[in-house]
Amino acid sequence: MLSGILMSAAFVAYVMYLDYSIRSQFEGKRWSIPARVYARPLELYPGKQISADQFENELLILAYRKIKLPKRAGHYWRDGGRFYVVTRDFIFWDSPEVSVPMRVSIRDNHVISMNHAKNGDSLPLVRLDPATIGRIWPSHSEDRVLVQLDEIPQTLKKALVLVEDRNFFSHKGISVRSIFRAFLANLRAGGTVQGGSTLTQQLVKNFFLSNERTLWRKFNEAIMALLLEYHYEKEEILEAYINEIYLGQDGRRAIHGFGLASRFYFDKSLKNLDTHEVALLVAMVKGASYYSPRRYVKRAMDRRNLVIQILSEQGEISEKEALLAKARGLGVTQRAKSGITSYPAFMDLVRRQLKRDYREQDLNSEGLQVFTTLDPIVQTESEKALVKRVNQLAKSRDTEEAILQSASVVVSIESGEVLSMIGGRNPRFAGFNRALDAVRPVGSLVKPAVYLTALSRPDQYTLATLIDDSPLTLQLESGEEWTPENFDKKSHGLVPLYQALANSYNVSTARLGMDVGLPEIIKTFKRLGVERQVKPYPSMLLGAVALSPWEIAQVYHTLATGGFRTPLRAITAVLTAKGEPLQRYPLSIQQVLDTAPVYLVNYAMRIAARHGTGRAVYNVLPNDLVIASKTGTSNDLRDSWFAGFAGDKLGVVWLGMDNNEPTGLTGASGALRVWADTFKNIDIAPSVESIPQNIEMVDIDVKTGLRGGFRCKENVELPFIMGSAPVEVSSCSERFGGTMKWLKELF
Amino acid sequence: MNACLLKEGDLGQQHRLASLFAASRLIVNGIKETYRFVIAAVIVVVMVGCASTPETPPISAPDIANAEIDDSIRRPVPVYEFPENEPDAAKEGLHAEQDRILRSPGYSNESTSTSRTILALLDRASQQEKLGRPERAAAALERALRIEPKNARLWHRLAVIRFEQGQYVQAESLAAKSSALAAGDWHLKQKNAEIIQQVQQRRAYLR
Repeated sequence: MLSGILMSAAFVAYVMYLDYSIRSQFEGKRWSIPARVYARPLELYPGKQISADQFENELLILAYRKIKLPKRAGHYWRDGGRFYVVTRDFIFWDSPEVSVPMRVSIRDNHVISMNHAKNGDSLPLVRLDPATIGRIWPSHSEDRVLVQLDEIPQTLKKALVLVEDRNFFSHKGISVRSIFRAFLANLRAGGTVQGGSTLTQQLVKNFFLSNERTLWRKFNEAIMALLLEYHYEKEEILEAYINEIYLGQDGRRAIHGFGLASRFYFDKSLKNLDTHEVALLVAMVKGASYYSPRRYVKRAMDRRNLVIQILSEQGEISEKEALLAKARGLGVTQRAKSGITSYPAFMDLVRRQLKRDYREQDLNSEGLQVFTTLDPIVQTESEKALVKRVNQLAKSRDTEEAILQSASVVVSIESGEVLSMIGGRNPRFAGFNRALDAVRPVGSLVKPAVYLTALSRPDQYTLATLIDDSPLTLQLESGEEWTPENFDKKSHGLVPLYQALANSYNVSTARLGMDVGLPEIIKTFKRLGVERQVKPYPSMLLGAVALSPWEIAQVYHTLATGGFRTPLRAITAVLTAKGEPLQRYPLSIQQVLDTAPVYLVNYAMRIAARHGTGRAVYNVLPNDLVIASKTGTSNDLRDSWFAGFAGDKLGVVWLGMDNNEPTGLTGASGALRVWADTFKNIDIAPSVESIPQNIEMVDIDVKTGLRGGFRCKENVELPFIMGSAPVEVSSCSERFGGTMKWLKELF
Repeated sequence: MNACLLKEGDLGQQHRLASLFAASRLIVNGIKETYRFVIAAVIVVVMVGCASTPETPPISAPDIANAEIDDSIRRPVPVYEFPENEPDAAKEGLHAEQDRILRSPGYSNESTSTSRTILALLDRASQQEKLGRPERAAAALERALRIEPKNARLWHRLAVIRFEQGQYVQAESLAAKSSALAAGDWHLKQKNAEIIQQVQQRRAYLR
């Protein structure tokens, strides 16, 4: 008796638990009004760098109409470099922007003048309305194309019910009749054509994606299906089903819902699908990979025709329609397209930052407005540069198994705002986001951290300090021996520290790194913004550390700002549907490194770009542009990296294969080219160099690392932290050189 | 490892020699620096119309080496703002001075074509601050910084806003940033040093 009561109590508690979990799933996945995501608004002011074409392109992205006599907001006219624009009203969180008719004149890639079209007043600053770059459901990690009941084609609803669950509108969640009917139908057809579970059960199954086929799971599913039916209307359940059901796989991305599937397979919106296309999607419900129309054409075709047959038998379509539909091909596009947003990689970043930084309940509110930092001009130019160059490099490198892939990130230096992000060679393709998720060995990109650690001790190391590049063998903790080699397999003897970095010598870097200490270098990594755990193995000195392009961007950003860390941000503010600010990401900085040693490392990276491993950038970019850069190449030429900054922008580019096969490209022959093409096309505001107060310039004789005497021919001017420059003057005489040689031979 | 040890010895020798010379150079440099500072100070006095002789800027810099990495900087902040009833008279004075600094000739260290734009945004920032909306004021300054990212005075202005909001860690870093960009602007550097010093005093007091 007592045990009976206990059993029932436990059962009730269990059902209540199931009720809670299924309801939170259902409510959590209900699709409401999506958040609207905006690009950065274009700020226009006299002196702004922008070309007339870029400006017109921005207007087109904003859907301004070209009209000879612009009168209304959203109209414009262009005559060469002269524009007449009537801007639109827009309410930004910090202040409203009122529509203004204006004349803008652009010459030599600069805004020359901006005047009010009516009264002629010169305008100091006009902020255009921001472009909408996508709509997302921020609390969900997958992208979806939501469809609401009234947008769902009748054929789809009918076909689903007919094929998957005939009694859907009458049963209470589970249906013995359905199971029986399916059994009969399958017998008649001599195979499985119908499943026994109701749409409701299938929905439950999709909520808790698990493939185990146990009785216990079936039992749970049945109870939850009953509970769902108890709480919600049939139509609500059908809507959820249509937006939830699994319909395919795109790499790591699961395709959920008919809306997204329609885009994915046909590159069309759901409401524009023809009968044979709807039938194919319905056919795939039974097993999206088994009936994949891209892989198993025959299988998919047979089942699609079966669905058409059922529709015709039940009188939903005429026999003639059925015949025509059956005669059609599958109609799927060759390559999967996302079509949801033009900037899938950047949107991915936005989604992740929202999820990381905002409360779940805030993100669930309807109709949020998300203001981001994406600069459509920079994004477009980066895409053009990357696609063109990578296609060119890929010609001899693409194989059956893998194609040459690439990713890039461009960031504005002082504000730490992400201007563009590309996740793969096809920037429209919403698949694996390599900019964030390709975690690959970074090669020599780690070197600046090694040198920065050394240069932070000005009493020990300066840019002129001679370091030893002669062969080196290290005893590892494991007892093994490690002999780092230079890329050119040569030994360069004693080299000034700046040259070792500029030419990316491995042996001298390894020796320097061991001298300053691995734990110290790891500390520098952390300060620069690496959050990943880095193990203190000597091989890390030459780049055995694996990081993503995004993480590299963070590290080099801290260098580019002179030691002020700013978490890179893609979002500036989030507003509720009513326009009230929810939260915002202000510009925040923290000084994590002394400015002077950072200046020294950046100076060496400038020499790397001018005369060292990065010098090919100047084949493309103008000589007067000051660039600081570093190339990176991983073992066996598997990864080609380039990180560099110039003026107000920083860029990181990676090239490699998804299956980690060698590409035959070094940092300089691969990623550098993409970077240079990118920076050639985007506007870089030249900035006045800010030299830290405690830095002085001193002439150095490269050979000896001493102060350059008047007789020295190889003098180089280098920056030093005050008091750290060598004092002894090199005589540059034969005798002295002889002494050095003698000294070296002694060791 | 042999080679490493010997290299250290080599360096040691160099540095012993170096320290002798460095001492004498320090004195010469010291004289040079003082001379430059006096000239800079005279200019500042004339420009700001300040009657008192400025003192040497206190050497206040954030303690970077020991600072914990501040993870709060990656979190977004709420923007709910409550307008103040009565603008603080003392603050008014402070803002007036800030504006005077920013409007003094040569405030813009970049091309002058954008100076009107920057001034318009500074006006906005001041208005918003008077209305008790520091986040909106900060937003106007961020817009200005997107246009002139290396303008030390804008960074300073943002530091002041953060200080008044009680965001001391931010204020300290922003002031340091301003000074890093200030080049020869001693007056501005001194103002930044004051902010940093106040933050550090506060920190010492709290300890």
